[in-house]
Amino acid sequence: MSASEEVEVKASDVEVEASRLVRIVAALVLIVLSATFLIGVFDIRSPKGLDPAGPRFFPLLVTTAWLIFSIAYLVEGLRSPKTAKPVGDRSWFEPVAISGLLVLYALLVVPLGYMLATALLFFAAARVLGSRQLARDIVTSLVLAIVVYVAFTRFLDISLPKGVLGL
Amino acid sequence: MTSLSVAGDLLHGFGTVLDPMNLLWAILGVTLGMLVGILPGIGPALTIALLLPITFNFSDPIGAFIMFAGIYYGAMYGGSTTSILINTPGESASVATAIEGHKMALKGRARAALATAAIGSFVAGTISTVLLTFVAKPIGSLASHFQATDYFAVTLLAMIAVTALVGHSIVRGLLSLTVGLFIGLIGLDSLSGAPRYTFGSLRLLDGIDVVIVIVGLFAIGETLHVASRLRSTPDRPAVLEKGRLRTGYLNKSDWKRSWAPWLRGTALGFPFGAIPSGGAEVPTFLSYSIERRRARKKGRDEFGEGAIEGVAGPEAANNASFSGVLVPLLTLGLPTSATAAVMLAAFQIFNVQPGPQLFENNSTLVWTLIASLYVGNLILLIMNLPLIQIWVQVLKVPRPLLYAGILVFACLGVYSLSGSGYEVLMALLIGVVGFFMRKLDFPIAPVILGVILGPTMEEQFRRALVISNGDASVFFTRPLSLIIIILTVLALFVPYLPRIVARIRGTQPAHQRLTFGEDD
Repeated sequence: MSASEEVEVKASDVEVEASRLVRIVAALVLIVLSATFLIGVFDIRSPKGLDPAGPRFFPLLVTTAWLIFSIAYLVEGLRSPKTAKPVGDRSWFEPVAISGLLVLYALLVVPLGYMLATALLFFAAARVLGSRQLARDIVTSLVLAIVVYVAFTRFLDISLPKGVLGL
Repeated sequence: MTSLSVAGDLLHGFGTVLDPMNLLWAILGVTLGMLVGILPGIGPALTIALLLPITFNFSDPIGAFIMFAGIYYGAMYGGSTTSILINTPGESASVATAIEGHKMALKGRARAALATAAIGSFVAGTISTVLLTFVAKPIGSLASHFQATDYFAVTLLAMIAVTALVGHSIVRGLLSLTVGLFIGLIGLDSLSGAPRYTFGSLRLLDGIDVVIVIVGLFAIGETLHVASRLRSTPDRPAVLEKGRLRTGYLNKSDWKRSWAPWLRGTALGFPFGAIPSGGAEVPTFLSYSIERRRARKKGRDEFGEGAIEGVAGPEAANNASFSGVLVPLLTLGLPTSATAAVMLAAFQIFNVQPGPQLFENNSTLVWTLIASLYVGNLILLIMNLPLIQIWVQVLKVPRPLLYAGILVFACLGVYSLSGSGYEVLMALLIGVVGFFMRKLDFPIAPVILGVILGPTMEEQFRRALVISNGDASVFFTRPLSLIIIILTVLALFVPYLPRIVARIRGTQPAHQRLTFGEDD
């Protein structure tokens, strides 16, 4: 009884996680994107050939469907009750920080080398996600980076950048 | 004649699987699957996606697929362990198990719940693999008569049916699907060579690798989503009543109450897995509601307080549905769940094309895969119950370290595709999309199906039109294609099956969609 209750509470949590405004903005973004790509269909080179449908047909179909569903989604959002508010405080800092870390990682993994970049990524991500035990975080990030590097380069023959450490 | 040749093929498969090296891959797969699957919130699809890079340099795909089968079983069973012990189902298919299983655990019957889940999984897995063994090849040879129009129709059916059956809203499901189809369009058109949506970028000419899409949507999207919620959902320690776990396995009455639900669960799981219904979710809930109704009729309604039937049935259905999912995957190359889509991506990495020719061209591979299902099931049973105290230690990994680790493996997976940071950026971009999809409650599976099946569908569609000289009526004049297209239309409008299930159960349907995005 209470187990299914608990599950339902979580489900409603998911339902109202995004506010009405966020959904309307998302619908507008989807409409702009799909409309742009729909116009983009006509930039696709379409050689006259044996192929009756050609390379434009499916993109036309997909982007048109996308646009129609986006409009339906907008209507759905506009019709939804205004009272629906997000539950709990959702933080934007952590996801933005994690995204930033991944951008840095993408740029630095080759120059710094796999081990160093990965250890830094793990350490920083763990801290952003709320880990507060400095010694444990440092040790774990170093051990993980070294183990993964050695396992993948020595045993699985996948080459990973050596970088500044030159190992 | 056929059953004899099947037995021969299967024996050959066993011969390969029992090779010490391959056996090692199976054990490794089950272990890895258990380790990752037991972590709250991580299902088989994400597990396989994260572990794909391990196999990139395998010279021989057989070892890889033996491992994947093990990973799948391990992850599935790991998920039910978590559901029973701490009531955090990592995938929608485990939600039904969590309801009764966790109640049993609270009453000090965790061992019995775990045992009925494990033995039920073994029974269901074995029976359904036997069914797969005998059904796969005949269906494969039937499918060899498929023409381009039929392929187009059946691909459309799979995409639409799965989309219609997942998520709260059909609009959001179809939006997910079109976004997936769009991602599949990016790159050079395979027939004309015209670049599409490459925005002048040379990198995009090859399209976006499906591994990037999977890792981005599942791993990075999920991590970003968890990151945004960490403050409001405190890191709940996995409390395990240690002493209570030692209260023995199944007693006589447990066996008596479990065996029939196992069989009924199997009977539901296999066919529902085989038709495009989105994998294990529908049969697990059906099994749960059937067992509950039967218990009520008998006047022995323990449901809601830890009824063992409510664990035995859904777990069997869950496991049986995997063999069912393999039927269209192996014979038609048609994935009907997110996990199956990830498996198909793995096949494509090794240049193996599932479909009617698979049984002729890659006979050893496919029969070894099927044999490895039997073996994987057995390994799972042997490794799990006695070692449960060790497995649950994994639950103690702190969440920040867990998700930081997922990021590391996600980056590793996409980086090793071509050895540049570009893939990491692309995966991040898709991960951000996945993050917003989770925020806005869009289902993830249709995106994956769209990316993987879109190009196939377009190719078959255009091939059919080339053959018919541009006459679009071919899709409606060939009876088989027409039937499948009619089924597709029905799938879109009629089967709000989970809602019907919910009505049978007399509850609101909303919670069945809880964590759909994370798994099949």
